[in-house]
Amino acid sequence: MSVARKHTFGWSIEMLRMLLDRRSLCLVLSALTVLYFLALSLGVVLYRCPLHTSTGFPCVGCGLSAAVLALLGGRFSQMWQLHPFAPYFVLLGSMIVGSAFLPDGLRIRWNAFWIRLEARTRVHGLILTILCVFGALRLLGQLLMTQ
Amino acid sequence: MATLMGILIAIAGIVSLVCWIMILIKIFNESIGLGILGIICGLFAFVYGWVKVKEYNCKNVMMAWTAAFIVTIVANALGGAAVVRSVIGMAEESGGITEVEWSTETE
Repeated sequence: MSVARKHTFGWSIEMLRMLLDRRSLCLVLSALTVLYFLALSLGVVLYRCPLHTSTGFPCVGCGLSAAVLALLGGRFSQMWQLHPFAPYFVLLGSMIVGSAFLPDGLRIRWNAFWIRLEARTRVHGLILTILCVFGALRLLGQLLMTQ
Repeated sequence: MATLMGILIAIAGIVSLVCWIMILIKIFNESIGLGILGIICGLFAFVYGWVKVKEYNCKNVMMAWTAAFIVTIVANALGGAAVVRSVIGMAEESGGITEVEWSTETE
């Protein structure tokens, strides 16, 4: 029982560790995210979802960037309609930005806090699993609507 | 022009999709969590693919994905400009919108 419990969403801790431990990766992701949202706020889309571009069907993350812009603009109902998981990605983004720009001592504590929190709660694993179910249901709904 | 750009975007989209799936398989082999993140955020998979390009031995795939990525951006920009130009042309042909009158009066 305890072994099964220990390994539930074990991948989410590993994911956070692999993501936050690489400062260069966090720096590149932060820079690209800022560039992407700056361009998007000016009406220029720098990156398009490969699935949506080639098939017309939405992937799990489709609508997320518009939802994040709506959230940052305080348009909560619009955010909810576009992608209800936008607040989670703002949180994940702030974790990555923190890991990219904090000084070494503070960064180690910052990363350790999030990894310890995940080890106790498995909140990222749970949210990402629910998000995948949400994406699959949305895709199924779209498929049924087109038939 | 707009049709040509549409075809280009579609081809680049298919190339991106194939490269995305190939990189996702490699990311999933390394970590399930990062793989899920790569599905949700294609941009993450793109960046992570370049970070791990030597380890994954996928330089050709990443080069193809980057080329498709650049083609999409350029085609989007040119396609958008072509649409704007055609709209202006249509407006001019139909008598043109010479001036816009703004009414400030309320009934």
